[in-house]
Amino acid sequence: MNTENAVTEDTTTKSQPVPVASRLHSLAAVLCFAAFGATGLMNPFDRLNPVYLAVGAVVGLAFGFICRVFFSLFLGLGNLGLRRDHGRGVVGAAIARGMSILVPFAAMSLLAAYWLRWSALTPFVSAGLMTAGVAAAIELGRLKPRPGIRDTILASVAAWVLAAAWIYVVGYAVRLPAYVEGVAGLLRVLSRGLSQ
Amino acid sequence: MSAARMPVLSTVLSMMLNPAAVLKSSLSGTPWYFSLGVSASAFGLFFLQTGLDLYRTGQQTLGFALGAAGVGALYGVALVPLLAVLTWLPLRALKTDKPLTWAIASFCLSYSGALVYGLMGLLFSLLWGWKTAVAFGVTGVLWATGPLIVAIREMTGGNNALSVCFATLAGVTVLLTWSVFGRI
Repeated sequence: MNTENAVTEDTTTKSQPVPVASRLHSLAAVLCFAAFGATGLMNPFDRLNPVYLAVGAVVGLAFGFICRVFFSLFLGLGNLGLRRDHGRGVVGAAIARGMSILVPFAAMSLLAAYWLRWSALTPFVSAGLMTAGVAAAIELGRLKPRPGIRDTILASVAAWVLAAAWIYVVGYAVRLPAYVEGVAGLLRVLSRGLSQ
Repeated sequence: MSAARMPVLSTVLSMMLNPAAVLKSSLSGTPWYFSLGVSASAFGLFFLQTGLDLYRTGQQTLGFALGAAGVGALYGVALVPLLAVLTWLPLRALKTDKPLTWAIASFCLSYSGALVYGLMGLLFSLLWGWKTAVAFGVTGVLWATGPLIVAIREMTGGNNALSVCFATLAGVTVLLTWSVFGRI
């Protein structure tokens, strides 16, 4: 393989159908990140605790938003020509379609958490982000006559950074549900005190 | 491409990093025994590490760990092609143009990443005594999901939703059946 050709992106676009993201793609990504959050912050002694599930889902959704922004930044800056030719939404649509590939990873994560009763679930997020990022890069590559490997490398680096960030986020956020439960309990006691 | 001159390392790494290119170009030249060898080795190493982890925690003997490698190899030879057949049959009804042999070869080669992770995991397990079945083994099996989606997408003529659904079922089946073995 010619290395120069492989790493140099051709900004000339070709007449391939531009990726379009439907609401189903976005909904799938939202549900997957909520599942990752819920399993990541799950209480291993009370796996169906609603407070842990709700806080986990919110943290997962926030992380999903950051993932989308981060992938957009990485892949958007490397594809200014595509954005000019196909519109600003082309990178976002490719990312949304790529993130729908998180479904198998979220399903296996839920299975591992609630059926197999595992607690170490970060490999599911890491592998999912890597696969989703590369899928988004491939979607963008289809619009170029010579796709190269730059987008794949950019997406892989972004996925690696995000996967590492998720490990830290879970490490800190795992305390949040207990705080929420504590504050809720305090408010309950206070409201009882005021009503008496 | 002749079997004797087949670039083994290149095929395995390409299938791990850029499965679409392999599935579109060189899969027809890949001998069937090579594809089966990849999934057999991948699951053999994965199950061996499961056995070694159980041996280190005192739950099983070393003989069990070695036997686990054999069971894993059988699993890779039997269950992965079976998954390919079970995926291909409904897709055949939907008029896929890919033959059954293509489906089996692509499913088996999808576990190229699991083979690479398995080799790395065995190294860490033997040299440093790490418990590697989940950290390396499961990660390798998860890595196969991407190539599986690409393979099924090729079989469905580019249907993303269908490929994600079938890959989910395949991944869940592998995870469940492996966990049954881990509980023996």
